Amino acid sequence: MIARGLRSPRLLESAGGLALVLALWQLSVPLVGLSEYFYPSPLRVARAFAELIEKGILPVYVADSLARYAGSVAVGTLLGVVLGVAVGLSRLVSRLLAPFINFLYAIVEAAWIPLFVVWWGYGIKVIVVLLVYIVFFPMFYNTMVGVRTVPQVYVDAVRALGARRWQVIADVIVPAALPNIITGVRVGAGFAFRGLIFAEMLAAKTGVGYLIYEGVSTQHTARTIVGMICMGLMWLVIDNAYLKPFERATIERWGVVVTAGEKG
Amino acid sequence: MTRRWARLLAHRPVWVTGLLVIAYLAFQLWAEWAGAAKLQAAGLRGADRPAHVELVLAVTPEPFHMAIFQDAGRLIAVRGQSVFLLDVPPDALRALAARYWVRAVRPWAGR
Repeated sequence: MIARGLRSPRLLESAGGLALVLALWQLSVPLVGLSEYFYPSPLRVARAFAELIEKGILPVYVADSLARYAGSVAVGTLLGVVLGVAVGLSRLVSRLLAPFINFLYAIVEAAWIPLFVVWWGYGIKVIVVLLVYIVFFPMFYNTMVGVRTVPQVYVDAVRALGARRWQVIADVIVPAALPNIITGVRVGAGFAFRGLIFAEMLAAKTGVGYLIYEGVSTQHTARTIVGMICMGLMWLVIDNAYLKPFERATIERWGVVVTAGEKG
Repeated sequence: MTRRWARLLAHRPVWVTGLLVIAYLAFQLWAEWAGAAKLQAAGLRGADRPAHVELVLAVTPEPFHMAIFQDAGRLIAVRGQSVFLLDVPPDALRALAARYWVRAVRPWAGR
């Protein structure tokens, strides 16, 4: 499977495009004529990359960022789905919570940072709470919309067969809302990744975001670029290895995809 | 059973996670083994009391490393690529020795 991936023409084309960008970057360095601090060459960045691995800094920073990200996305997703299903199913819960959640949605995550810092100081708590907050809203709204748009005929049909309320939720409503939930996961996970880097710049002493910020403040601009490259690579792995296959499998499983030739 | 495993491994998230977990575990095993060898060479393997040690690093230490040393024990001095620590508990010493950028651990008389 891995070998098949390596032989794929798309991968080769992508690698070719990357090589071209790197070559142009390297060639532009003498033409631009700025010092390494302002405009490091790809070779300098590669050396910084190797140095950060040799010093044991990069593996720890990447692992810390991924742990914060995975934990926050999991908690935010769970909260968003549970409250989304509750609000989508119950008019009472909807009337109680929806206005408040809608109000909170208008307060952007950056506005909370000063208050979070006052409550918990600079550190992991601020990052995790911020990311959970970021993931929660797309999860909540997508789940709620997914639950509310489940055709009533499905619910009635299963109820007519004697299903209990929990069975209706677990076997009909949640699976029917799954395409929306998956869309929420992708949107939330994307926002959270950007939020992670931003939060780590402000409130962490480790992590890829911190590396990006620290690189400039310690005049190691090449390290900042290493951090940016790591950020891109991490997102590519997360998206291609987890989010896209998960979305594809779910949408295909629940029959939303219209394949060529089926239409009409 | 084999077919079920094959079907499971056909899913990209499963095999990517599997690869990552295997790589992580293999690295941890190697690091533990290498750390134990460093402590063995220093005669500190199986120590049950806090020890004074000199760590010889493979790299020049940075604030990132200093924070780790300060968590492990009392950081007394840094000379070149050598770091001198007092009162490092056995667990912290094992964790320090397992770091791949720690080249060697030596007992130190202290001060």
